[in-house]
Amino acid sequence: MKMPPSSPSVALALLALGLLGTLWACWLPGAPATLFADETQVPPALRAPCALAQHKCSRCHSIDRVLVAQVTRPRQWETYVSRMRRMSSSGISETDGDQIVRCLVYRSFGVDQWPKSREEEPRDRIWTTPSTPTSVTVPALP
Amino acid sequence: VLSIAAATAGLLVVVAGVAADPTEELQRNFAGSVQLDYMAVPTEEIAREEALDGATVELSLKLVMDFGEHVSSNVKVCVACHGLEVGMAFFDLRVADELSFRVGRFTPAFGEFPLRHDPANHRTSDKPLPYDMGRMLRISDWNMSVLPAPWVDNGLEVNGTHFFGDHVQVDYAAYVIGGPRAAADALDFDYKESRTPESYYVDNNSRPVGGAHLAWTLLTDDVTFQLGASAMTGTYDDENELSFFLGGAQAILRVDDLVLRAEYLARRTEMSLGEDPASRFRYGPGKGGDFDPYFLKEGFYTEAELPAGRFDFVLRWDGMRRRGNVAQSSELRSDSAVLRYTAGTAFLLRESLRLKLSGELYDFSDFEDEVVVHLGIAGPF
Repeated sequence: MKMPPSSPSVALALLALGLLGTLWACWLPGAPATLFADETQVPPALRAPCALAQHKCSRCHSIDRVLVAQVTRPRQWETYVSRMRRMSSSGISETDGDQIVRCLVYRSFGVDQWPKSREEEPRDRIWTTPSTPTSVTVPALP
Repeated sequence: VLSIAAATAGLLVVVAGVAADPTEELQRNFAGSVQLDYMAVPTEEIAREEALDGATVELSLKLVMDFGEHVSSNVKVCVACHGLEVGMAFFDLRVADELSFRVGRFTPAFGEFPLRHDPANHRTSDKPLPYDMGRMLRISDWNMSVLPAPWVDNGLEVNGTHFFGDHVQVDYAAYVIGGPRAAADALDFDYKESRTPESYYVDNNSRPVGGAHLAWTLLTDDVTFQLGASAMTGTYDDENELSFFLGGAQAILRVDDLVLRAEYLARRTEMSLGEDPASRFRYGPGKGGDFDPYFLKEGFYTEAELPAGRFDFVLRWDGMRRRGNVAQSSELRSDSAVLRYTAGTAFLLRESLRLKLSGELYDFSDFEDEVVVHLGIAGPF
């Protein structure tokens, strides 16, 4: 392997900086990316669906994608998960999809009975300002 | 007449299957990602002659519109080393889970990595060698990888997925696309021609390229195991005379959070011998007195990925091999290889923002070995 005498300095400094930065970052506050920072916030009936969502939704991408998804209405999660389910080798069956939607709707909107309450959702078009739930507690982002 | 009739019948079936339901709603979703990566080559004084080193930014912006259950559209634009590109511009016309038609500009189904080619979806700053698109060392000597990802092209794809019970999923895809391009006297694909506006974004030889993908996935509570195979074939030169065949296989194992991946790609490509092969190629004819017009380019990667808290650790071993005659000016030989060893980590800084750090050792058969360091930051939004 060749090693010119002068050129490595910048790259090695960069590497050292990166390592130091990584080590420093170890002490940053925060937790691994998960759907819920505190799983005790999740109703017992939704813990299994949420564990499934955490596992299945990190197969092709990190769970971060779910955390930053811009979903404004419960029904949008249905379409979203349905599209993901049809991706090649998604590993998400229809049954899985329903469970994942239940969890994600709860996470985003605090609704734990989805899809029973689907008919109650206002059917506004996307180009209008989406309605936001008023009487639910939205779990904190991790 | 037969093909037109078949196309018309097929179109009618699709239209009937995806006909709009007036009660369905429109939904749109916007997503994107960005990665800033610095690539340093400590073993070179000035590495620019061998690689596109230094800082690069990869940005993608994607808008998905769902027109109910049966129709959706995707538009994605990317900005990277080569400027603004449209990576997606297609409609999905869905008859059922098992039958969907994708029309427009897209990445055809091939292998596993292209599914997660977005820098926010994989943990290293760069891609496995068989799929590399611009960050490998000796990029010009090797004329890039086997199939640079994301391979974007115009065409039509039929795809579908089906679950057999809760534990087995089978996916398929078959497509026709414009295909790779090169001039009439080419020795290999010309990737620049595939995306240069001067050549227009149309098929260069009036002959589509065909391909297919098949994957089988076994699912249990803790284990996912997948096997898949892909193929693509056609001609790539302007005169429709130089053929290629690209095949691939994949095996993915996920046990809890540990993911092991392995893929293999091989491309047999026909070269133009020209009027005077003796002056065109470095090596002479074979025993029969004829020049072999084909070369074989293979690539593989194996990878282990393990999350631990806010860290994701990656170990990767990948490589490529090229066998066949080479141009007089080439620095490769009739049998050249490169192996690469990578160790990397991605650290979750905040919500979706990750710091990526990786080191790579290149082991070339024809050049001196090199070391590469990547430091990047990436995340979806």
